[in-house]
Amino acid sequence: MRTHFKIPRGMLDEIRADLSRPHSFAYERVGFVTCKVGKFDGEGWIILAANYHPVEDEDYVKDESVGAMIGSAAIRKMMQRAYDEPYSVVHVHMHEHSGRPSPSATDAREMAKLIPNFWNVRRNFPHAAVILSFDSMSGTVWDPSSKSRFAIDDFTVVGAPMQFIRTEHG
Amino acid sequence: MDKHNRQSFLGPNSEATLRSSRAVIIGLGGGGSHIGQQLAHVGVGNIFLIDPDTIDREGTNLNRLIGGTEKDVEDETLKVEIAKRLIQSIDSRIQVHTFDTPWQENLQVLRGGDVVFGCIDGLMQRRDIESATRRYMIPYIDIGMDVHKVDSHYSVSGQASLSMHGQPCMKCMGIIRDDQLAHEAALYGAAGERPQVVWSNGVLASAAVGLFMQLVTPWASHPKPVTLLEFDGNRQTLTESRKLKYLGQMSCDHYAYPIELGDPFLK
Ligand SMILES: [Zn+2]
Repeated sequence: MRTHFKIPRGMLDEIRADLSRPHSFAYERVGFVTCKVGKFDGEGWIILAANYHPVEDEDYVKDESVGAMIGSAAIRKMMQRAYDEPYSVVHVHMHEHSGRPSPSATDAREMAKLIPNFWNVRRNFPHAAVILSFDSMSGTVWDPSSKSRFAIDDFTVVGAPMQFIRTEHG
Repeated sequence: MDKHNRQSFLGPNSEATLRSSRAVIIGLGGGGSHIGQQLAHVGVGNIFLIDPDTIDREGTNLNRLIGGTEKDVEDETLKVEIAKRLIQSIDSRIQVHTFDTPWQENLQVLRGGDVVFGCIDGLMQRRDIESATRRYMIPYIDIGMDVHKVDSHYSVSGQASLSMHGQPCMKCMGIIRDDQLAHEAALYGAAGERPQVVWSNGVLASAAVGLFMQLVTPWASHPKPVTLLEFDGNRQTLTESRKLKYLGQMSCDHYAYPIELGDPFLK
């Protein structure tokens, strides 16, 4: 399966700026991107970032064990958005370094709990979690037909200039 | 010495970036054949060629079809095959994929491209390609040329443009006008064979490849997300359109985002 995530440069800049803002008690911020999707021949998804939705300050909850714990209100708002309009939901957060980020054990565990919830409102769509760094990104997609998760292969930052982040397949 | 050594100013990873990039060319006639040749020289690794036509039997394409030979005229070779042969004779490592059916039957090919080049006549088709590429956030680089009779002389003009997601479109730029679309529709979509000449095609194709290189390699400091270069074939000049000044400040209302993104039938 091949998955390609595309995001306009302006939106990506806005997300990085938003996620860099300190929060009164959460160690890090997170956000969501609602996306339109298309299919590749055979298997695979093209996920196209449409709108960014920061998680509001009051929607974080105190939890010492993880950096950013968001409450059910934040998740409910996103589920409503994907219910109202056919959207794929992509969770975003940022690791404060350059180069390709990789998920921590906590990231992997929390996302495996969170992301499949969006199938309750949009069951034929892929949903995903993307980790940004200062200059790169990586991600995981939950595929609706196999109900499995896969690494996102390709990322394109759409703007002038373009940025292509590709996973090489031998 | 590395073949691409003289391109090293393009940036440290530009060779690898170009090698992994995927360019789609729609229309392998006078303009598209030039573009294919140049993309081979700069080292684009994956090139997708779409054109249902063969070189014409009268041989009139030979005055402008780059790579075409007398033997091709005899054999009525497909234009995509001529381009493929030329590209792979320049660099055999390039993966060339050919499609000898109309582009509308190859939407999956378009979707997989990083950049799409359009080198065909007919405003309706160019509008449709633009719409299909914007839907998938793919930059669309279009070239067009025209010859008009003015009194007893001929005026040769054309343009190369870049249309991108969220930026002014070809209607905003004035390349596609409703009255011309209506005129074409009245002729059942037949745009007619437009006169072309190899040297003007070469200028416009080079401009198109230049726009592509600015998008995918970091050598230019501030590439523009919307570009319109106007060609005056009589004066032999290529100038940035004065329209760009106000185009930079306006937002396109011909395409509604984000509704017109992705596959509209997926629910
Ligand atoms: Zn427009």
